[in-house]
Amino acid sequence: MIDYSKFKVEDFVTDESFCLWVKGTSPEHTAFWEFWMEVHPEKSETITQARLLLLGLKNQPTAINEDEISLEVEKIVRLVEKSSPFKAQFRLPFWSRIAAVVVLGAGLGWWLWSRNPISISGLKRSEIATPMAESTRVEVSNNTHSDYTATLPDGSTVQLTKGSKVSFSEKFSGDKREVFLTGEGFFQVVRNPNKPFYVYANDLVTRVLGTSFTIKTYTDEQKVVVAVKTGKVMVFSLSELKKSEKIANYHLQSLYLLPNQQATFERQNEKFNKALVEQPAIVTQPVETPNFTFENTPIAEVFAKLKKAYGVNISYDADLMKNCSVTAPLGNESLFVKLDIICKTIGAHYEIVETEIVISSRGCP
Amino acid sequence: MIASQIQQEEALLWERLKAGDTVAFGEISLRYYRLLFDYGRKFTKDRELIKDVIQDVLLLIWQKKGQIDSNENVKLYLLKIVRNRLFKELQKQQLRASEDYFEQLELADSEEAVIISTESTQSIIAKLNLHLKALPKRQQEVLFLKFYQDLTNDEIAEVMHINRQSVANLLHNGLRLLKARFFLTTLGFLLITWNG
Repeated sequence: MIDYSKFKVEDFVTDESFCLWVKGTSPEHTAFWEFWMEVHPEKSETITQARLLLLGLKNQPTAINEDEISLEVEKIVRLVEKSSPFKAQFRLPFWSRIAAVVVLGAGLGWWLWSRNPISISGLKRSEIATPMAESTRVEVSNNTHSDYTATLPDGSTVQLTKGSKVSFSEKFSGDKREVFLTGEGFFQVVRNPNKPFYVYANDLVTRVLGTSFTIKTYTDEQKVVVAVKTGKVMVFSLSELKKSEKIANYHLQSLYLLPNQQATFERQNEKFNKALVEQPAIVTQPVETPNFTFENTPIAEVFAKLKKAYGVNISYDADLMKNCSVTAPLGNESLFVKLDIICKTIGAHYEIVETEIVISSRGCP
Repeated sequence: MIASQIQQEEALLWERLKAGDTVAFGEISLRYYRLLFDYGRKFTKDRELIKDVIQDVLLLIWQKKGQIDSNENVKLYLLKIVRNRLFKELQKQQLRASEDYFEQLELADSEEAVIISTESTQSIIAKLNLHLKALPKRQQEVLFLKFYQDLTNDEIAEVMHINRQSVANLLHNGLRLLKARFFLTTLGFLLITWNG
């Protein structure tokens, strides 16, 4: 029989019988300790402390949730099942980080909507993709007879139809994530505002502005189709990209796609056609990502949005600027790049005075 | 009785796994993932690294399924390889990274542990965990293996490659330190609340 009367807190905590009592699954031990407490009222504080300590130790917080576990396990099982016919042995994405899912449109039956490419200036050149020149490249081609989902180094995925392939650098090092696509791929992109995601497909470049996007490309044919279910996507031609790299302040001719829109790119004349997808879906915006898409938006609204999103104060003459409005597809650029673009479109200037942004403008017609 | 039922079920799963059943493999992986992950978090905040190591270890189990003895203490075995591999990886990284690695780690850990809860038991547990994270690393590890993973002192000794006496000492000292810090500040907190 153990003499518990000399026990300290730490001794109780490591005592098996005591632990069983705290756990509450053993009537036998419960009876023993309840009796013991009656006999040793002087130990009640020690016992209370030991109980608390034990409870805390047993309930150490876990650092991983159920979803994450099942996805990781699913990935491992898949690796085992397939004994990996593909080279891409990457981790499954953390799905809860993926804000939206992208679905490919069928490419048929869409109607012409707009032929006017949107011009965007003010984007820093570093934000625009440069052709890849990294040493370790991974190529995943789907030689099976069904779809295959490849996981990219950042956890994003591409579902490849049969005969399609993607290539990318092994680690996505550098300031952007670049993927080359041949065939048809359905992308689910993990949000990373610091590293824009680019897909190069033939002569078309697709840049993900927001959290997610959708692409479909035809290889043999003279066109590429990009369809968006949710998210914000910018498309432009490779030649435009190259021009913008050579010429300073070049206005990149690009097309901006919103949910349920798709663009068809004709390689021969480098023209874009924008249309609605065949089956528009309900769009759910990810809560945490503010939408910076402005279409004829009054300037007050624009500034209010920036103010809220970045927590900065923007001071401007509301009366003088009441006629100003902004049309600009902004995404995850930095605040100052956004301000650059906004100011350029309305012919205003901004400066930073301490913690405040001050806009100067002569108003708009 | 319940415990033996679980054991039986698990033995059955292992038999199926050994026969090449991927579903059983998935089930077993699910059962151990959290324990292994949370153990990994004791050494690094790099979640991806931990996942990589766990993935390797589980794949190793699959590869070596023919050689697994179902009577062996699998949990112990898994904890051991996760620990060894993680150490190896971290050593590699530490050669590259700065010296104050562990200091950074502890800061990040405490941030994570600040759980604001209105429920008192919950907040006490959260507070205790803050103190737990301020303990020396090896004491933390022993307390984790003992109470969270329910290992015996002998098993802990095996996982950590130390002798049984060291385990007992680490355990005892860790608990004493934790008790002192926890109840001192809790008492202080109560006094402040009472005065205010």
